[in-house]
Amino acid sequence: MKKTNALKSAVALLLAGSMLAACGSTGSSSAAGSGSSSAATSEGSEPAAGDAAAANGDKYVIGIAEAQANDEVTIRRAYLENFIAPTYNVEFIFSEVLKDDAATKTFIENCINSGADAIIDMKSANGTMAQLCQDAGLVYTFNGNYVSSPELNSTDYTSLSGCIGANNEHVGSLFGDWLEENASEDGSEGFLISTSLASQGNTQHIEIAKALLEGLQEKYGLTFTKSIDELVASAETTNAENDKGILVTIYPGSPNKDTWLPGISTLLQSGKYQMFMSSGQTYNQTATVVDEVEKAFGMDIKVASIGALGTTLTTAFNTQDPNGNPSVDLVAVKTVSCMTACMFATTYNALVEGTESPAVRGEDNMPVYFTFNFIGITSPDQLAETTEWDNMETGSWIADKDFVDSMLVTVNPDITSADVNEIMQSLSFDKIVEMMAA
Amino acid sequence: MEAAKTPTPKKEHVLSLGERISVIRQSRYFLMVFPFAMLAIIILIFTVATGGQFFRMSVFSSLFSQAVIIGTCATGVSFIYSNGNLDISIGSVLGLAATLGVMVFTATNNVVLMIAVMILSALALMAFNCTMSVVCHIKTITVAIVVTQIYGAISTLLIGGTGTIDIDYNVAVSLEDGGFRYVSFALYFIFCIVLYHFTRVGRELRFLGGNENCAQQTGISNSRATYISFLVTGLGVGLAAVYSVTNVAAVSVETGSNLGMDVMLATVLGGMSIFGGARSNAYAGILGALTVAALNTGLLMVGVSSAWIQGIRGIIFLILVWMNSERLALLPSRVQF
Repeated sequence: MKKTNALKSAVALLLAGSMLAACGSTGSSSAAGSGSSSAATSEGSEPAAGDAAAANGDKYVIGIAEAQANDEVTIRRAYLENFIAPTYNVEFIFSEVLKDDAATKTFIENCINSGADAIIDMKSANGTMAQLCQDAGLVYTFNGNYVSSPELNSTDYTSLSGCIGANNEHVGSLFGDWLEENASEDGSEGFLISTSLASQGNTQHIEIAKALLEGLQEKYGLTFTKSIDELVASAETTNAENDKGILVTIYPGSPNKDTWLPGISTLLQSGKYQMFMSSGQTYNQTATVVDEVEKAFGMDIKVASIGALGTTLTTAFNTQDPNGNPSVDLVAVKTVSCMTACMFATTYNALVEGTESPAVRGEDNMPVYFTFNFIGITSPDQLAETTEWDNMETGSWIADKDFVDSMLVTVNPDITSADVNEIMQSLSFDKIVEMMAA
Repeated sequence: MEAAKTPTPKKEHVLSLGERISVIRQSRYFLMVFPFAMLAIIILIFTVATGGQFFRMSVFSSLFSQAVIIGTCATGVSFIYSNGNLDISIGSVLGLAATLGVMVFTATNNVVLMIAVMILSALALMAFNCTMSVVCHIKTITVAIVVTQIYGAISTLLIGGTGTIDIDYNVAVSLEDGGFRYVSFALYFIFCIVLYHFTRVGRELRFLGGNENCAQQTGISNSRATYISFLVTGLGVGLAAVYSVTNVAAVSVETGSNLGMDVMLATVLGGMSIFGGARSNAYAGILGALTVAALNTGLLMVGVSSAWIQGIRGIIFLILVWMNSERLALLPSRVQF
């Protein structure tokens, strides 16, 4: 009797476990084995470019490897799931936050096992991932640049569709121009520059840090003891000594690391800095310490940072410091839907026509660096104009169907990679205001 | 009067669900069988749920690839856990050993030398950890916490600003797919199983983990056992460093991060207490690592959204750990995890 009861209990446990595992499948509308978490197809949507693929029964499955969990990732996921998936008849598999390259590789392997057709890699831009995708016949698109991943531009990875990254020169000029307008005439306020991953070769961070140092050099006519390249590459906190004795401190390190905030807080709490500029998204992390220092020293610290449209940014601009100013003064924002649309279009074009298509590769048949512009936001009023930009709740996307269609070979068979880049480069604050009003 | 004479039928005691589960859990064979059964059940469930897609050689190969690094480390660390010690520094040991090996490879282009440097480095670092603990009488966990910072800092310094050092992809692939990984893991695993379960060394370790004072009074040297456990672990961590580098054809400042915790999780899921004791075993780690890999892969293949995966995985882990956990009334282990 006792054994019978034990057996019954074992069966009950087994069934409970089965139910638990099976309940996970509710997250997907796809058939078992396709392994994707697709969004439901929206009713009444207009026929799209991808409908041709749908008519042929081709439903592409694309894996999205994500490195972080922040506003940008949330917006990108909503855009892909709620707009791109139903409009272009594709499915997406989203990763968890991938902490290292091994995790990315595992995710890609799992995507391969799940029948994915392509990978968009936001985490590990390197040859191993490209080769893995090539061996399995998947299209590989990544976010980053060829400077930190040179093998991706020098090796013939036939499945590589391209790289999408920031127009670093443009974002650098946003910071440089802001500094020129906002810094004092004598430079007595003290400048703290968080160079983030510049010392580890992150091109965007390098460009921003260089633009800031060059801006200071130009504005005050100063000469640094070390070269700007050396200062930017510094892997430890450095006072950038100069002939005018202006306090410029370089603080490197990933804002994602536990040690970043304590380090920057210590510097800010010295009360020596009234200009804090960061090449990464940090305004949310430093808001409290900036506020405390402003109160303690009765000063106004101007903050410039990278950011993304979303609730965090809205909160930052609508939160006033003790001087009645917004807690941030410049945020260079990514237009996430536009960047994502470009990555999707490039991947989709490669899936439809192959990576050798002129819409994917350059004239020399080499992978292309597709770039997107950052948009500078400097006031709550300006931010108010962006309320409907990439609004997840209302489904109002900057990169709408017309925008995405304009980059797809299924709509524009003659489009080239240069044309795609031109479309992306045409984006500015005014252009987007115009687009959203249309 | 007559009714009073009628014997009252014996009322059968119906076991509640909790009692039934308790009966299963307290079986002496339960801890041995349950982790294997759970892995088999997970594979079965996902095979059915994916229409057979999960039961493919490519998927099993992928599961092994995902599990081998944690599994190798966990197999070694089971020796440390067995005699009641804890060490969470293996991630940083692996990172530093991998960094040194890759640097040697970059300088010499010699694969054999790279492997040798990784294994010897890991052995030396683990021996240093052990010496600090045995000679200075510092708890192994305390040593581990300190050296984790030191080894991590050295790795970061050696790797430099780029944060990563690549090795030739073809070299990595040849090591990964050329049989080295399978053969070396199999040899190490068999070595550990034999040493742990069929020799005096293993019995001493388990005895020490069960009751240190009693074991020492029978003449067992805790210091000697600790050295053996750390060196066996060092060998495993060295091999895992090779697997780690060949896995992504690079070493980075992130290599080995969180490995200590992953190994603990794998060990517990495999049915072993991280506080050692008589029921410890050397196969729990690889079993737990395979369970984690099967869950991750299976949930993704079934189509579970990544937003749900962590939650569902957490619930399953909780159930498995609870089912695996030791009972004070049953085991001589000194601490319940």
